[in-house]
Amino acid sequence: MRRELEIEFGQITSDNVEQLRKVNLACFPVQYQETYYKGVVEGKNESLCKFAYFNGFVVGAACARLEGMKNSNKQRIYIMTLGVLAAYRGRGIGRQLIQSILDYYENNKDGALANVDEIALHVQISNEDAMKFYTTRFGFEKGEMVENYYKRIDPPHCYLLFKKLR
Amino acid sequence: MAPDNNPQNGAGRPLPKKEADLFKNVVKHYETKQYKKAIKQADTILKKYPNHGETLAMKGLVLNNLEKREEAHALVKQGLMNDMRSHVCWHVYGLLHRSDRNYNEAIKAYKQALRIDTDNIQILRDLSMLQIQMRDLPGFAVTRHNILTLKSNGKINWLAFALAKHLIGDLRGAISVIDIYLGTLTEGAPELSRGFEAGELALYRNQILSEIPDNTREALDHLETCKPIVVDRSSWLTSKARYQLKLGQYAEAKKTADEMFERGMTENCRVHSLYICSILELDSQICDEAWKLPGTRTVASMIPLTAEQKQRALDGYEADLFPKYGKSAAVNRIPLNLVEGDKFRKAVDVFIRKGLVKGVPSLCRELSSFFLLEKDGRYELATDPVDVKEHEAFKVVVDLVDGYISCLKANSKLLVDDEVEEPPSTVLWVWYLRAGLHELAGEYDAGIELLDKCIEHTPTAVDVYELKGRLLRSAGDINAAVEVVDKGRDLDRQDRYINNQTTKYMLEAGMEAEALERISMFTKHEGNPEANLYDMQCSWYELGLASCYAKKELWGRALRKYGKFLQREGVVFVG
Repeated sequence: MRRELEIEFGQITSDNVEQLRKVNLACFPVQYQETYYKGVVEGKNESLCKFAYFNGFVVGAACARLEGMKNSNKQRIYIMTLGVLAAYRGRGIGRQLIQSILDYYENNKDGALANVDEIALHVQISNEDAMKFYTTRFGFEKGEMVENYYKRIDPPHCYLLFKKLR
Repeated sequence: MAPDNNPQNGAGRPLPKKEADLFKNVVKHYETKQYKKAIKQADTILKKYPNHGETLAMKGLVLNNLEKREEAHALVKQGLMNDMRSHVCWHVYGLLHRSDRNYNEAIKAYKQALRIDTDNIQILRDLSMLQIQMRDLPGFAVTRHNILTLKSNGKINWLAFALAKHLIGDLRGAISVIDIYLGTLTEGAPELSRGFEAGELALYRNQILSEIPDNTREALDHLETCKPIVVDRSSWLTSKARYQLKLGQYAEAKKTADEMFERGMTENCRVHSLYICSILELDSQICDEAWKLPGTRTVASMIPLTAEQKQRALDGYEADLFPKYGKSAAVNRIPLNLVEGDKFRKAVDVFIRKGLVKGVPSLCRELSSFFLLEKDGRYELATDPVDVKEHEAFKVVVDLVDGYISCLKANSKLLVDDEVEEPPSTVLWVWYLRAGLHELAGEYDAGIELLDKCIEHTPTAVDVYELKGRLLRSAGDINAAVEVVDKGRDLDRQDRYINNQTTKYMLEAGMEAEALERISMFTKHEGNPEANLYDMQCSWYELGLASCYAKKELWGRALRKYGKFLQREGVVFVG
């Protein structure tokens, strides 16, 4: 078991958003649109969108947003991206990033996040590692399959993973 | 006969009371920068006395501050013409020249004014400032003497006169001025007891004493007497140690150096030079030279020492300094210049690994200070790649670093016997260091290859892009260098250093428009960025831009840029 690395969190701003692009490019097979980056920078919410720093470098990032849910007036925290540079994986960094978002929920569930009762994300059906990560570490459930969610990768389908918070 | 509408033609008929008061107001408004009011009042006087020289001159002076240069010059000249015997007019004429940076003309005007009104302190003060500006030291001394005679209750006038004496080389004279000043103070005055001003004055007097040839003993004795009032203990100890070395009192000098370390001056490498000089009882000329060394260089890296000398100095470090100041960066770094062969290898191994684990970007630069070549009894840094590659220390360092790289690959540790595995950042720093060593050896391709590995490993590391850009530039491809460095800059748009590097490379590549765009990201928003750079005296940009034009053979633009630069630096640009 490799030693866990202790990271520090940092805000994503218009001055360093290029580093988010680099992380995403290195981690994901899809390219994210300008609207995604714009949303992250303009949201200015470092509790939901943050860098993970180690030894002075950005080595990973997690970006989430609050969304309304269909057929309900409740909200959910939706994880858009979670990525850690290959050389730094297996060190608990991804776990620390997700945990910090869950902690943010815990500390604000009666205040700013009173309307939130779920956290969710989409995972490509072939991404076993990711599914294991969320289900075994954090108790997420596997939901419905969404067909043709992705436009340019194969397989194009994904699962919704979610966890009820209340 | 002077016409009626020109009062004050020369000394004699002053303005009537109402207008005289208005004139006083004009001067007051000028001094408080209320220019519009000053003009208004001046115009009121001129309505009645349109040829009043002094008012015309004052109005001109105010207009000059409002950027109306031509009108200002015309008015001041007219005012002076109308009243050549007015010291005010000459004074204003001088001020006008000063604002145009015609300092010699200004001095002439002030002297004219003083011929009319010899004891005018304001004019004397303005004159003294210009004289020192133009380094007219004898003139400066005379003027300051006059001011002191007129106003001997101002401390500043005493100090300025002492300084003047010092500058013209009359050292004993300077000291006696200071002493006479101190003599004017009453017993128990605050200026005589311990305090910052009193202490600094004492140290200054001491400095002058030490500048008198062969006067070190008197300087040292004086230092002891002023000890109770000096606040800047570090400077006091420094002077003491240097005097002791000069007088050959080596044991005492070492004690003083120990005292300095105890005060916390352990990171000051010049103090380490003093320490080593006192242990080795070196000649005072060597000690003085060592005092001027920059960075982590000491006397040990300046002159070749014998093995016996190195051992003696090393004993001092190992017996005294390590035990007391084990965490000091300098105490760990300097002995590396005192060991050789196997001992050096062992010591530098520890040094490098510490820097790699911590992640010190300047590690390569620090190590390059070991690659010294002997020339005429002094050491110089080796800069030519051929010299570097042949250097024993370089070979040792490269061997060690290559060892780390292969050990990391096999075991994720720097040394096989390490207990703990290294985090992923360590391999990044090791590659980065190895690339830096490639740069010193002129092996640009190998360096770039390693840096590409770094970028793949951690694409968010700005330092890597900077080094890669530098290697590309050294290898001759400035355009590729620009591309890389700009990518690095884009990662952290708040990093001014990398922005400057990008601008610099763009200017070298002939991309002056893009360069201006980049550097404008950090200039103040009001006004155009080039004006801001000029005001901030950003010489590297201006000279880089001029050189860029010259390379493109745009001679006119290049000359203009160089000319403007010289003009601001006060150099008279002759055709």
